[in-house]
This record gives sequence, C-alpha cells and structure tokens, in this order.
Amino acid sequence: MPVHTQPPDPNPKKPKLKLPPGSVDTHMHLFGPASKYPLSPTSKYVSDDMLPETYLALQDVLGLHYAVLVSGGGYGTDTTHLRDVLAAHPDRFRGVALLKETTTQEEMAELRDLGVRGLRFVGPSHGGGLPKINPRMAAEAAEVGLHVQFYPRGDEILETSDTLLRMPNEAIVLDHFANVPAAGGTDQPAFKRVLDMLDTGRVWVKLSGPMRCTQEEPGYPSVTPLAHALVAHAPERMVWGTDWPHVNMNDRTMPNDGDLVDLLADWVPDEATRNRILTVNPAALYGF
Amino acid sequence: MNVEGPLGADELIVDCHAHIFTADMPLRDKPRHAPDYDFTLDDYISVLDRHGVGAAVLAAASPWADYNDYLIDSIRGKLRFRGTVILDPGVERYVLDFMARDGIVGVRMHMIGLERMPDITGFAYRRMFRRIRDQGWHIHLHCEGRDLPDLLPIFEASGVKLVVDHLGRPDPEKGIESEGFRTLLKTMENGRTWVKASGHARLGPASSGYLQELIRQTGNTRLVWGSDCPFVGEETTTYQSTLDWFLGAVPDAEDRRRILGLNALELYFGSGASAN
Repeated sequence: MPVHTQPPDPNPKKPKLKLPPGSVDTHMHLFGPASKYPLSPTSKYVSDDMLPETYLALQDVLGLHYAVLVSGGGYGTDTTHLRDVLAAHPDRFRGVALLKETTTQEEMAELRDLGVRGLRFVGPSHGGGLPKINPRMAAEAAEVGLHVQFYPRGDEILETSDTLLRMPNEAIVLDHFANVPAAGGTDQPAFKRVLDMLDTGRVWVKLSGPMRCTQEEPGYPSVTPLAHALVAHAPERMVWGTDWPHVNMNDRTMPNDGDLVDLLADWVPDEATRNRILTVNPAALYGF
Repeated sequence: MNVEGPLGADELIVDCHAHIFTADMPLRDKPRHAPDYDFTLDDYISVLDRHGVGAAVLAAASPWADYNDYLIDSIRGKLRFRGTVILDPGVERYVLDFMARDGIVGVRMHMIGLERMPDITGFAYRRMFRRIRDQGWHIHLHCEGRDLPDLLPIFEASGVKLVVDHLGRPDPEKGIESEGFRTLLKTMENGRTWVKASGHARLGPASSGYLQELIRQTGNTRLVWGSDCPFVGEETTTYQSTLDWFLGAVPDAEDRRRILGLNALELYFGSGASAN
C-alpha cells in the first residue's frame, strides 16, 4: 500500500538571502490535480496535489524564477503530466524525464522540443520499478541532445561511475550530492569518486536534497563540508535545487524552503560563485 | 558547450560590454553612429562560444536612445545575459520592476558628444537615481574623461552604484595625470564605483597603462572587462584582440580571474542587494 507522503511546509519563510533575478531551482516535483493526473499505481507514495500555481507562488516568496521539473516515482515513466506542465509553462520550466525502455528517439526529440533536457536513471538498488542505467537509451538520447541525470543510493556511485562515464552524453548530472552518505565525510571513497568524475569536465552535481544524504535535522550540518569541497572543486558545474515538495519525509522534520535557501549561503559563501550557481550554470545545462 | 576560454575551463569569462541591434531599429535624431548591418543575439552568441566566453552584459547604445525593446526581447529568459537600458528620467518604478525580471540591471547614460549636457541635479534625475538605487541597479556612464570632475560628485551624492565606461576615457595628452582620471581614482574609494576595462581600440596604445594604473591604485575588485563587440565605428577590431589586449596588460592570474569574471558575477549577476 502506498503511504501518504507528508506535505511540504505551507508557510515558506522569506529567506534572508536575496537571490539574483532569474535564479533557477533545478530540482522539484509536481503532482496532480489527481482527478486528471492520477499517480502511478506503482508509486511508493501518494501525494496531495502539488500544482504549478502553488509552486510558482513559492518561487515568488523564495525569489526564484525558473525551475526544472524532475520526474520522480509519483508518475514513474508516464510523461503525460510532465508534457502538459511544460507545454503550459514554457517560459518557466524545463524537464528531466524517467523514460520507458521502449521510448523511441522520435519521442525523445518530441520531449526535448517541449523543454526536456535530460533523462533520469536511478541506482541499482532503487525500488519502485524506475529506469535503471541503460547505456543504449543514453546513447540514443545523446543524439537528440539530452543529458543523463543519475540518482544513486548510498555509495553506488563507486560501482556505476565507469558505466556513466562511458555514455556519450554531453553532461552527466548527479542528483542530490550523488546521495553520498554525508556522515562519511569528504575522505570516503564514494565522495572522492565524485570529485574524480568532476575532473572529466562533463559531470555536474546538484546541490540539493541534503536530507537524502543524512538523517540529521534541517541544517544538515554533515552535508556542509561536502558542499564546500564540491564547490571548490568545480564551481562551474554545480547547480542548486529545492527538491520541493520533499517527498518521503514521513517521521522526519519537514524543512522550511526559506531555510533551505539560506542554507545555500552556508554552502556557497562567495557571492560571485553563488550567483553563478543560480543563473549562469543552469543556463548552460538547461538552456535557460 | 563552450570552447575553453583563456583562463581554462573552470573560470567563467564575462564580457561586460557588447551591443546587439538590427539595421531596421529606429534611430534617434542625429545619431553618433548608424550601423547599416544587423548584429543579433545569435550572431553574438556564436562569437562568445568561439572565444570561450560564458556570459555577457549587453549595453544599451546611443543610436537607438530608449528603444530598448530589441535588447529586452532578446535577453528575456536567457540567464547567460544581463542588460542595461537607456531611460527617460520620468520612468516609473513599475517599469523598472518588470525590466529587472527580464534581466535588466542598469541604466546607461550617454553624456558624450551632446550639444548640451542635461541638468542631472534636477528633480527628474534625482528621482530616477533614487529609483535605480532602490532597485539595486547601477548607472552606466559614458562620458569624456574631462567631464568626470563635474559629473562624479553628482552620482556619488545620489548613492547609486556607478560603472564608468572605457577606462574613464582619459584625456589623451595627460592620461593618468589628467584631472578626470585622478577624480575617478578618488571616487572609486567609495566602493560603489566600477570601471570597465574596455575600449582599447578607441583609446589607443595608452590604454594598457590606464588599466595598469587603475589596478595599482584601486586593486582588482572594481574593474570589469568588456569587448565593445561588434565595435561600431571601429569594425576592423577583432574580438580576440580585445582579450589579447587585456591579457597583455594584466599578467597576474588573480587579477585576471577577478576582472574577467568574478567581479562581473557580483556586479551584474547578483541580486543587487549588496548595494543598499
């Protein structure tokens, strides 16, 4: 039975940090309305409606302007909702899609024309029937200009990095700090592997979802050293995201999105670099 | 993706001074220049990509006065770009709000080659300066170096951030000893005055010395590099020559990082909040 995922804090704080005009949230999800877009029967969770207008109001509070809508477990590989949202808001959203193995290159090109910029794979141990690493699909996607976004679990980056780097796609984007367990710090092999991958010049990391790397309370202090090391290593290929509406946070403290914005100031104290991460970097990766 | 720029792959280069236009845009009366060709955003992007320049600030140009429409339409939703506009001083705050959303970050004032200088101490200008300050924008000033001693105190009193074009266009005879240049150095002490390392093709061989003197006297945090592409009126200039000029004048790696990229990321790609 899918669980009802705890909704986000409906009262986001106005962040202390004033974001640059045009700032991009590169990782968020939307659901519903359920009457029109029911969640996938295979989803591990059910969610209240998380509608574009609700999210865009959040952007106004946080000082954001653009976003990347990422397919998650909620709709699995059904792109109907993603397509409709991108078609309705071409000026505000880009997309990253989970795709069926049978997706044709023509369909990939159609999705690209709607604003999809990448296809997403999950790590080998991820449940829920989501697409695992598929080099054939990645190669076909590369030919129509799509990048690969990868969400590993734990230290799965160690066993998957070679396969990922053999893919011809112009960019390989690692979700949520590559999900490296933050408690292991910056000397653990998985984190060092991420730094090595960055050295190839085509791997990107999303500074997002710190709660996916640690069970700590908001503030997630063990994640901050990882952020500092990543930003120092390759500031040109860091992007940032809220991960709103923070699914699968039952029995944990729901973060306030205003606090998550302010956490970025701790992760990236240098203003020039932070501005780059919020505007110019996502512009290059997602074509804003 | 871009080719690798002169600082290597990981350092962002920002071109802080370029123009885009089409030949059919409405020209003001008696324009200083009247280009008979198009230089579109796509034309400019191909130049940037060929030279490994990642981001840019497009400057409003005097021939089209406050016909900012083409520039705004071109950069809307394109986060690699910011722009400046030319405005009538009567502009209302709501207009600025909308422009800010589209990536406009400053107001260019051409106080050069005019038959009569406007009185910028009157209410209309004081009101506009205040609105610009409140918006976190800057004034982008193009004038002859000899006029800086009169103009700079007015902008300083207004509290706006100020970006002075083309190394302050020092008097060619007196150069770094001219009163305009000395006043510029003094004004930069207020921390909200920037100077563009640009226009070497217009200023001649002495321009390297102007830039070096600015770095020596004021450090590397209030200078930004610009190409002035597509070199209206000086079209034989090449884009590469503007980079080569800068790299030739500025050997220090940290000076290059600041002036070619980081300063611009703070000044143009930020929230403007640090100005207030």
